[in-house]
Amino acid sequence: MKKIASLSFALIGLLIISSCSDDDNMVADTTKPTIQIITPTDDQEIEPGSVLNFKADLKDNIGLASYKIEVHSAEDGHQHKAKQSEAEEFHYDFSAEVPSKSPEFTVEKPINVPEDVKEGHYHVGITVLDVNGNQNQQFIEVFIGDEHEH
Amino acid sequence: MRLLLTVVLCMFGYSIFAQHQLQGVVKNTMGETIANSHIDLSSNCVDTDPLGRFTFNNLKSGTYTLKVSAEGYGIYQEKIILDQSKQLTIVLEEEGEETLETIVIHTAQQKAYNQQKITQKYLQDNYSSSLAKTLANVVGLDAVTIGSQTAKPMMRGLGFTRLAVTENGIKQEGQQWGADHGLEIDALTTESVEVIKGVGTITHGSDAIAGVIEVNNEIIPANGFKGQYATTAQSVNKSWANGLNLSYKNDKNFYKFKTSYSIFADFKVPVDEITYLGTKIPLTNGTMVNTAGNEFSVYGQWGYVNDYFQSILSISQFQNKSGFFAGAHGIPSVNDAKPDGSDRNIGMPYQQVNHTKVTYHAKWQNTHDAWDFKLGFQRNHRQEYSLFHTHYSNQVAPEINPDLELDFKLNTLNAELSYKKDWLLDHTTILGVQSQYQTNDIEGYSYLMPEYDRWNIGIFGKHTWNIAADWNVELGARYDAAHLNVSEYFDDVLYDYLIGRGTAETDAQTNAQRSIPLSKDFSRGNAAIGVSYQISEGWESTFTAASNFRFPTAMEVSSNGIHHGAFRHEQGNPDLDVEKGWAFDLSQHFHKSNLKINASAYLYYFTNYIFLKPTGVFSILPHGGQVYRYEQSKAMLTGLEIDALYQWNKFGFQVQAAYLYNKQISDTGVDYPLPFSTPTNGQFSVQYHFNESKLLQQNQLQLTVKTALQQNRIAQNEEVTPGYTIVNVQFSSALNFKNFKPQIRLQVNNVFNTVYYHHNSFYRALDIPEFGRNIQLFITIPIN
Repeated sequence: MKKIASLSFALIGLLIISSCSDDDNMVADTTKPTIQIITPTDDQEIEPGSVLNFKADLKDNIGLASYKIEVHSAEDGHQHKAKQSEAEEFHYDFSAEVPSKSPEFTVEKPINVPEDVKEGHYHVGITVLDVNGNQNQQFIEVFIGDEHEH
Repeated sequence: MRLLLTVVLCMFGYSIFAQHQLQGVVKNTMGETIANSHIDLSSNCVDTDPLGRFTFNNLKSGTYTLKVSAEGYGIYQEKIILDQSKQLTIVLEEEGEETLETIVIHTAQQKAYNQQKITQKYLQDNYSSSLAKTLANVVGLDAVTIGSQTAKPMMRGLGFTRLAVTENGIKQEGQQWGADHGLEIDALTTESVEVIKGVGTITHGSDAIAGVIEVNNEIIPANGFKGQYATTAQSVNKSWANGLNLSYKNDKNFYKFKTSYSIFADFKVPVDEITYLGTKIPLTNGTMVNTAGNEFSVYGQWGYVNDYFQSILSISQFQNKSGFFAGAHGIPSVNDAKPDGSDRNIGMPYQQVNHTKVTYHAKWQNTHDAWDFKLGFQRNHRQEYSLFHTHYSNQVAPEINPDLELDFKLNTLNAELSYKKDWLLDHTTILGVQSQYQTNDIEGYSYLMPEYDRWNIGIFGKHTWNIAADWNVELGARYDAAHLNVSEYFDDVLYDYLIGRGTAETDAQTNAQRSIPLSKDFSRGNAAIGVSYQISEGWESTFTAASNFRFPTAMEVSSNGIHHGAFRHEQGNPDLDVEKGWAFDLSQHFHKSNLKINASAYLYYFTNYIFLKPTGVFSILPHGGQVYRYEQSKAMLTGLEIDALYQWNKFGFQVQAAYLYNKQISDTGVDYPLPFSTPTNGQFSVQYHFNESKLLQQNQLQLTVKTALQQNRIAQNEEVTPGYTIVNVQFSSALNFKNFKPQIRLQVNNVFNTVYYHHNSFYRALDIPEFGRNIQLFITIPIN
């Protein structure tokens, strides 16, 4: 009877010990890289045919692995019905590795916006991965067009 | 002669014989047992032994009048409906003293596993919008929540397809869906719930790894007409919920009708702004625009019961329509978070859920054996509507139902037959066979989950041996076989889009293949052993060890593409093996006088836990981020839970604490924590029982402090969640106007309007905190 009781506590003790020991080996990295988009700025207006200079500061506690820059329509389908007759929506995507897995990196990428692009709101964003697969994303909204009427 | 007391009964689970036993112990308010009190049970009578205990054997199902009297104490009288063996704790009030409601004191359990019974009263006293959230007050349970009304249960950091929920013995389907999808069982009309931790796979098969939440809506009602109306309103989402429970029993037939309806507005959070994917989204007055909704359920039951046969047919329907916060549904949108004119409208995007269920349960019972048959059909229909949008410029809105984004029709048929035999007095064997057939059909302009059908059969056996009065052993074994057929889905729109963008032919092919056709067979045997030992009068110890398994889902083996809820590219893995593991649970139940302690330690070990692994490779799909692929690795979860109750004069104290630690055990030596880890948490509550007046009875004031520590053990790409402490206060009372006796409860949650985050909330990732100060009024009115 006493044996069972003490065995029970021994087992509980064992569980506590097993759960507290070898904590984390110090290598499990769950810290996401950080992103600071410098240009363009939110709600910036961009003329078709001009160059959009994308610039962002990336940081990570261990090392950055790769990034992907995207530009796509932010119109969210509201005008999709008449879409076929209109100009092409602008799409851009570019991905690259961060040189030598550096923990700090500034991305600079000039993006040519075509002349005949469909006017409207666009998302400009970047997705960043660190060497351990931690991911972060940031998006901002810009307007591509000559006249901004909203 | 004034009397009174409280009774707390702890039932013996679902073992049903024609012959029952009624055991009890009589105590005074100090918790001391009363010897030589006299017990009348209809026409039988006994006196309690020197330890205050009494036993009636060989009772048939029926209604009995129990009357307890002792020198110097008031008389206690109660009607007892016996449909299974019961244990009672009867507390007699000293003559001349005022009434005092004692806290629940469970008598020692005689089951060889960790099990907890939850009554309708508990559910109503702890009601918080949904069944899963209400149950989250039970130590070791948590809820994955989205918005104010939708939640699904978690146990010890395991949920979704690793925790089984059953209703009337039939497994509730729909748990396999994402975190934005709740449990379709209404809390206001639920009769009782049993929570079994650690072992579930012997009688429930795949999916019961963490344990089982057994909802029982087959309680045989009392003779005559009985009813209850419950209504509640809360301030944080201006909700109003109503539940009506009616039952009628006439001799051998009984009927139940239950219905509930709730309506809720957009909920509010105590912040003005959230930051999601780097975008600051202002919230006007803290309002989460478009999170309003409504819920409706209806339940009908017909039963026939005599001493040898019982038959219960139940039909139910559950509906929920609720909006999703549009400001962070996909890419952040400041515009969509602006007030939309009404806080009660349900705009796009929203979900609509319809769950229809029919269950039939029959039992043939003789003195020493019983047959049990269960049949269930359920149709879980879930739709997500979102204004037509696409990331593929060549996709055109469908002509019919253009805004139906996702549509799942999950049909499931379950059947189970089992035979139970009592050998002599101390051996019981149960043998059973279980079968399930399931199909999933899809529609909608987006694609998430493949169409599939699955067939499963399992045989199981369980043997219980009462070695001695204080020793109980339970052995179980099971074998399952399943066949899964996944339909192919090739996304032509995506293919054309990718080709149009100049993607290489092979890449376009691979990405447009949203699911590969698969025909997979799985099989698995497993075993369990449980031992319970009565160490002393008030101390019982149980230990269980069980092997576990779970068959991979269609999603895990075959999906490929952006999961729109989780917002990431997920890739199935057709080579996944059956998830296997072991579960150990050691529980101590101790009670002495007015003190009761339940403590458990557990360990789950998986040899091949299925998880989503970030690959570090970018998806070529728009908004894709990196690709996550289903992989398997070793994993372990362990933890401790404690729940202690103490009654001191007019005060009741309760302390709960839960600790959970988990990790993957990878070959590389880098062990990441598992996702959805409930942080270390606890709660402390004090109850004070006021003197009764003519009008106000059972007056009780309760103060609860809930705390969770910071959760920094997160899976990759989860968020660290800071710790918090919140305070809740409630006052409850039973009004007494002659025959009209409504019970009222006024509750203020998060009294100090603290901004805090729930680690397992779907909205956590969007930086959206939990409710601020919330005032809730709850009224139940018995109808007789």
